[in-house]
Parts: sequence; structure tokens; C-alpha cells
Amino acid sequence: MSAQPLIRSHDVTRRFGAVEALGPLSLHGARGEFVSIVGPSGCGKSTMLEIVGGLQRPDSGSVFVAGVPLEGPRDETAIVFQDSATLPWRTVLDNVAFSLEARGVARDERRDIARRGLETVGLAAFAAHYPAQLSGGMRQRVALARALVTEPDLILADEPFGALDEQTRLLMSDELLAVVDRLGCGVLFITHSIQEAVLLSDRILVMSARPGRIVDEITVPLERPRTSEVLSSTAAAECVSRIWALIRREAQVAMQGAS
Amino acid sequence: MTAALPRYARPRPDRLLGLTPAVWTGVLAVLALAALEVLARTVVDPIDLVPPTTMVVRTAELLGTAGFVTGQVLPSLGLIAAAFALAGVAGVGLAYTMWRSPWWRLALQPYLNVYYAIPIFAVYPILVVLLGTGGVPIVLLSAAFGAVVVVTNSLLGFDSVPEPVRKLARSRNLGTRRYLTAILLPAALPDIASGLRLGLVYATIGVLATEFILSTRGLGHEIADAYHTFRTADMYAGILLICLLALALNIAVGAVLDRLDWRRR
Repeated sequence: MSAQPLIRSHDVTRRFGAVEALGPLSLHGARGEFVSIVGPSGCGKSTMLEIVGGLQRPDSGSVFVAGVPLEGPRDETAIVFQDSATLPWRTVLDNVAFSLEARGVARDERRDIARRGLETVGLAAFAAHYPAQLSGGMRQRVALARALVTEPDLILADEPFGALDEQTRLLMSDELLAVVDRLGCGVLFITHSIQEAVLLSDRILVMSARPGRIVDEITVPLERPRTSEVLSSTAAAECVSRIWALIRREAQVAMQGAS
Repeated sequence: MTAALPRYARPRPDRLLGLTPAVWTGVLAVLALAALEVLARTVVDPIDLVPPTTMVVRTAELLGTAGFVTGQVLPSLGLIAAAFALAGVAGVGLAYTMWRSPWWRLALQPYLNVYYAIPIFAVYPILVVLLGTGGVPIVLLSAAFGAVVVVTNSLLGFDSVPEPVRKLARSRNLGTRRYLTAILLPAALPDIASGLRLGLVYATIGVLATEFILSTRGLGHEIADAYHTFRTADMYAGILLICLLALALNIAVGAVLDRLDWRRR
């Protein structure tokens, strides 16, 4: 794993009207590192991810990606959303090619690359299908392929497997791990699932109730490469238990704040 | 709702007496025409109500008459096409400006809400005074009649882009033009197509009704003239021709527009 910093944010805050949504929050992530953020609902996880993705601007604080102050969305950053964000009027192949099209890659070339991307996520046979003809898990794989074909140095994922059933979620996690290991890109991953965070991450950042801050940082003591089988290990179980203890208190605070 | 389902998910239609709903649609039309035929030949004076078979024969005769197609039918179709095109372009264009600018949308929305409460044909004399008789006022009036339904449907379509897709587009740094062509228009296309379908109907009504009132040629004028000179058979033949043309136009344009509707795939 390279020690070169890929993401560095310092004292980021964000307000929505009178509501303090986030921060001050500082985080960092390196190339090749998989960092997950877990925390209670409404703590500002997605807001932080969108700030790092350049989709929102912080009210204060700074964000650097690849050593450059972030001014807006970067071409080298790929974002995978909870809802697959597939374009229903395009075939699966053209959905995957969309990111390349936005970069101005020629039609034949981008379709070739998109075909290889579909092979990576096991959907080569569905290239001519439309998203409505696929299951939720398959649509999410299309979104993943669309993110990967641009060969990003940073992947931001906002609960990408949140709407999937447990077995699909585990299989998708295995796929994501394999691809990320091969690409060597950095990942910032938002999830509600502690198990998913433990399975995927090198480090897990636990956020407080709103306004979200990092209350703890846990290094996952599991070797990489991994598959979902590691979840049955004692080390993984201890890690899940420790994170749950941290989150439980914050989730209770969030629930009391909401009621 | 069923029409919005993808083709593979649509249920197979039930049958009644072994016939599909599509066949029943035809059967109902034949039964209605048969009833009209019997009524016209037995109860009502055939001068007042011309039997459908006579209508068909007279329509064929009119179409064979020298100058009828070029002097009456084609000008009407040309005006409908012009009004439809103008309503479509102006409607989608205006909707786009409203979608881009919230204050403009807020300012215009009340007018759109009450637009169809105003009898637009009442302004026809003003257009005649300003632009004279002929095709221009007819096209303008008919386009104005059809444009608002295109605007409202296009706005629905523009508003339908899901939030994750908007974020995806922003994350890819799509410019305004690219967003319009790659996201906004394709996403809105099914709703725009629905608006255009209705716009065609409104444009057709607008052209024929306006010809009926004041034009000196066209199918609408032909029917009015036949009515005023007691040529009942010609009047009914003209009405039948208009119905058939409007139906054919709607089916043809509808088939093209259906191809744009990705929700039907």
C-alpha cells in the first residue's frame, strides 16, 4: 500500500439553513486504501462523501485530493450511488460507456472499453439489455462497471449495496474487493452495515450523531486480499462488536434528537 | 399504467368469445356503423342523416374530383403539419426555459394553469385584422392552441430526472449542452412524446375549426360551405374524411412517437 495521501480534508463543516449537518471533520485516505465511514442515520456521511466528490462545497475547511485543492468534480474520481443511477433509455453497454462519452472518448473505443468493463462484473451477456430488464444487483454492477472503466484513482461509494439482499451484497462486496485490489485505487465507502465495513475496509471511521464528526478510527486487523468468508473469523467478529459498541451510543443520541 | 410497463412485463390480454380486445375495438366500430346505417335508412330522413355507405361513396367521389385533394385536403394537412411543428418546437423550447429559470416558471405557471379556460378561437378576428386571412393566422392560432399541452408535458419530463442521475451528470462535469442532449432530453422524451401526441390533436382541431369559421379553402371550409348550401352528402363526406385523416395522422405520428418512448421497450 502506498503512503501517498489521496484525500486530505481538514475541519470541514457544512450547514443546511439553521441545521449544522457536519463537522468540523478531518479525514485522510491513501492510494490503495479502502476507508469506510459508518455512523447513525442523518449524521452527514453522504454530505461528506459529496464534498469529497466535489458535488457540494464545504462552508469552511479544506479538501485536497491527490494533493490539489478540490474545486469541483474530478475526472479521476468515480462515484457510485445507492440507487444505481443507470440511464433507463440506454442499453447496459451504453450506460457503462457513459462516463467515457462524457470524457470525449470516441464511440468505438468507449464501447470496446465498456465491453471489457462488463466482463469484469460478469454482465457481458447483458450488453444489449436495458436496465429495466435487470435485477437491482445487476443494475448496481452496471453502475460499478461504469465507475471502473474510467480507471479512477479514487472511488466514492454511497451505500452502493444498501438496496440489495444479503447474499447479493456479499457477492458484490467480493467483486468490489477484487477489482479495487487490481486497480490499486483509493476508496471512500459509506455504509450502514458494520459487517460490510469490516469485510471491505482497511480503516473504518465512526461518525457521531449530527453534526457528524469522527469519534473513532479502527484499523481492521484482517489480511488482504479477502473474501466474504473472513466474516466468520473471530477477528472480524471482535471488530464488528467493537464498532457496534461505538455506534450504538451515537445512534441512540441520533434517535433522541429525531424524536 | 400497463402501457408504461416494458413489453416483456405486460400481461397477455384476456379474450372474450375468443376475440382479443383489439379485435373487439374493430367489432364495436362495425356495429356502430351498422346501427347508423339502419337508422339512416329506416327512421331518420336520409337527407338529414346520410347512411355511412353513402358517405363512403361520396368521399371516394370527392377524392376523385379534380382539384379536391390539392385544393382542399393538402392545404389543410399542410397547415396541421405547420401548426404541429410550431407547437412542438415552441412548446419544448418554452418548457426548457421554464425548467432552467425557476422565477420565469413561477411567473408563467399561473397563465398555463388558466390557459385552456380562455376560448382561444375568440381571438381569431384579431389575428385576421393583424395578419389578414390565409394560412398564417390559422397556423399561429392552432399552434398556440396546441403548444401549452406540450409545455406542461415537457416540464413533467424535465422534472422527472432522478436525483442520482443528476448527481451522476454533475460528477462527470457535463456542460449545459451535453446535459441537455445526454440526460435531460432523453429522460424527458416519453413525456414530451405524450405532449406532442396531444399537441397534434389540438393542432388538428385548431386548423379545422378555424378553417370552418373564416377560411376560404381547406377541409374545414369545405364542410362549412356544404352545410351552408344544403349539400348534406358532401358535408357528411367531409366529416368522414376529416375523421379518417385525423385518425390516420394520429396513428402514424403516434407510432413514430412511441419509438421515442423508452418506457415501452
